[in-house]
Amino acid sequence: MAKLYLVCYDVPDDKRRTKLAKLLEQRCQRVQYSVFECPLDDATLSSLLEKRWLAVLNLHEDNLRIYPLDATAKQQTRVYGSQPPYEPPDYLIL
Amino acid sequence: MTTLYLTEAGTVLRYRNESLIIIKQQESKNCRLAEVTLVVVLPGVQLTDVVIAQLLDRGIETIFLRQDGQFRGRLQGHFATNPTIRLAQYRTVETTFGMALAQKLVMGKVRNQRVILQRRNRATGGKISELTEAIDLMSAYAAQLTNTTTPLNRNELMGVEGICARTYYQGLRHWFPAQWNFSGRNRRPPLDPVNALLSWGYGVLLARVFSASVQAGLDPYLGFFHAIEPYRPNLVLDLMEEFRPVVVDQAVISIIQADLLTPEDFQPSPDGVGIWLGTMAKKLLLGELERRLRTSLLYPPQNRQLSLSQILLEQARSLGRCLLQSSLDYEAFVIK
Repeated sequence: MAKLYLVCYDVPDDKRRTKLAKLLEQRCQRVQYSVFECPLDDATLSSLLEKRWLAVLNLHEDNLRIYPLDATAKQQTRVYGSQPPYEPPDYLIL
Repeated sequence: MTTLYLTEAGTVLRYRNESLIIIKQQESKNCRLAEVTLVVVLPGVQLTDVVIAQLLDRGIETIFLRQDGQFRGRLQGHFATNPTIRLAQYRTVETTFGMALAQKLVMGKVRNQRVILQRRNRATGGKISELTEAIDLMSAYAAQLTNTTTPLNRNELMGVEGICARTYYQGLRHWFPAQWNFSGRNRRPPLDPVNALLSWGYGVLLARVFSASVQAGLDPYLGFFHAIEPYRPNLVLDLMEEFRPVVVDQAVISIIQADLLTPEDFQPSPDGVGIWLGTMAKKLLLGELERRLRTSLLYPPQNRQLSLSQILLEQARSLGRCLLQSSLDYEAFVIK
């Protein structure tokens, strides 16, 4: 089951930051410059994605934080000036 | 998970960083491939070779429709086939058991059609005598279809199906306000807006049921009721029968009742004979069909709530199991 993760980072180096952001965008919705919301299941996150994200980073200078949000956290989230917590749309008619 | 409908000619689809980039005139939109389960493509939409490769490799169902909503085809990458199901299917066609299955499929349709008319009859307090008569007539024919120990032969079955269909579509008139001029079913080409909506909806449903039959390991082209006519996905036509009233007719009724469309949302077909949907009408219908297909209903064989699109697949699987076991366990999905 997919739950929602909140992923944020501090990466001073431009090159590493761009690389990480691009990787995050593959599966996550950018909600602020360095904050992403990810509808993911544990298995995908730990087996597939996390390793690739970490491979980009230099952990002496950079940090990455991944917070799980449970269903109630999502409901209680207060958002001002932007979209509510991310959910993939059921359908898009373009 | 997202269903992506690409309805506008001139749209270009590119691939970048695990996402589809959908470019229409000035705007561009991103759609992550990990979130997409189904793509429906209308004429005039371009997919780059990389997009096609991604869709095939990820096994994302991709369906192409014609301008009139008819099924054109689908992308097929590698898929798990089950030859034993196909063999069982080939052995069953043109047998008494095959005809009994066909009869069950037809009965499912007739019963669901009858429910649609009954809903209208209740809403109008039974005051429309034609509606009551149509419902009674269909009950009488449905009773003929319940005996599957000595099933009707194909001609008899086609006769019953034909009478019920005619009765049903005439009864359906009472769902639509008079200005829509709906007097019964016509097609190839549809001659009025309601028929155009129905044809379009059946095209979309056919595409979805086609995918479900492939997923269930069945041969889409070899049917039991719509037997073996060449160049026609006969089994898909069989399997979709019980879902026509439930998915499409109900969606068309909802749209017309919601009063969202006017005759200006339709246009004559290029040959000037038929009626086509305009862009707005197409989008509205697709949205309504999608909502219907995502509606959860009780699925009695498993005694749990499933969306209609899951039920489509479960019914295809159930047919596959019946063929493997030569048992008549198949029960049409009937609404109340």
